[in-house]
Amino acid sequence: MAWDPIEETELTPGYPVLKHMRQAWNSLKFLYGQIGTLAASGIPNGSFEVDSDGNGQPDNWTLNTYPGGSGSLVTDVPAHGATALKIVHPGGVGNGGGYYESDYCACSQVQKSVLSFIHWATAAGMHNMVQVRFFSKAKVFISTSVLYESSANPTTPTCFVTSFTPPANARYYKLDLVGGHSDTNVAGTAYFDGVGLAGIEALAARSTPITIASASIGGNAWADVGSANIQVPFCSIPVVLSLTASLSGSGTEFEDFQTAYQRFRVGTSYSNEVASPYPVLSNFLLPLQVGTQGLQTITVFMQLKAKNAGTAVGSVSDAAACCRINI
Amino acid sequence: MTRILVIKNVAQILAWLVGESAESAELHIKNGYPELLPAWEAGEVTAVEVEVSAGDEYHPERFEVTPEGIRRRSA
Repeated sequence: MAWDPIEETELTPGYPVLKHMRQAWNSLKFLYGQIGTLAASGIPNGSFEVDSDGNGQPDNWTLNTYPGGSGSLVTDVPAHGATALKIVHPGGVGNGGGYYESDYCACSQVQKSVLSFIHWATAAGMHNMVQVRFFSKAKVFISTSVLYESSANPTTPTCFVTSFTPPANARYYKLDLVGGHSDTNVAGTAYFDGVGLAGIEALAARSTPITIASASIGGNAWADVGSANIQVPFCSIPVVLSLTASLSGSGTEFEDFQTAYQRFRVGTSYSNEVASPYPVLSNFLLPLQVGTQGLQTITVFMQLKAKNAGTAVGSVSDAAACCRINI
Repeated sequence: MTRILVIKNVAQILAWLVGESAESAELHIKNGYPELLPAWEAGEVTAVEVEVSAGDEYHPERFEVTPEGIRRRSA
């Protein structure tokens, strides 16, 4: 719905009133849509809540369909707010779903953006994508960057976090949400919701307290002595896990030859180490190798070792294990 | 049963890694046990997968290196 003002020249005796009413109605709907979509997320109507003209399509997004494809708002399975976006691939060679392109969003080449979105599909094998197209200040196309592309999509609502840095001279971009690309003959419905520049908040929101029971070990060899699971969103940007843990050794402040050591690992990635003969509370940073595919429940292992026949005792008690973006 | 990756020499356990595979041993050594890398490359340090019972997975002190392999110490 576009801004459709009533001109001064139209306010003359004898001019049809019905046209004025229609113009006023259209402009009110336009303003309602603008108010509803100018969210702090930076992506207009990224939660697809506003459909000011009630046509089943989200304001600020334009649907482009492949042969046989369709797309619309849905209210039966929203993942963020009350509505989500669906794109339907009917199946058949050459057919496809389609893609929604956003309105222009402002950007700068000196400002990296973190984008989060929720995506799922009824058929994992659909070829779904999220891409960003960059434009100059005159809105001349510059280039495309693919942020997400998969033929093994999640079948339940899943948060993805990704990032992009606009190329030189880019001042605007458009997001394309592609569901069921026509190059892949897999019928199904792709869903998108909660699209916004809120990646950091998304990570923080998913951080959960973790606990690893107190454990002890003797001997001068690093060993896993406990673990905890933590949920991390799908992420294509570097993430660091930050957590706090306690450590104590069997020595005293005056017997530092019996030092205890503590560190953490996820897979083959290891945190910093802390060594102390007496009780300390330390912060550990652990780079995570978070993939864009697969399960995102990761297991954090606590490792201990002790020097000179001492004993190391370590634990994690309700630590606010915080995932943060490492850019 | 839980799979454990044990990195060892002929005398003692040098690393105890829960749920890891033997194929990942070299990466673990490079990332977490770099002091073992020369001995690993010389073949003096080796890696083996063992299966341990539930409750033993976080207790490497209950196990030892023997000529036959990794064995649970007798109670």
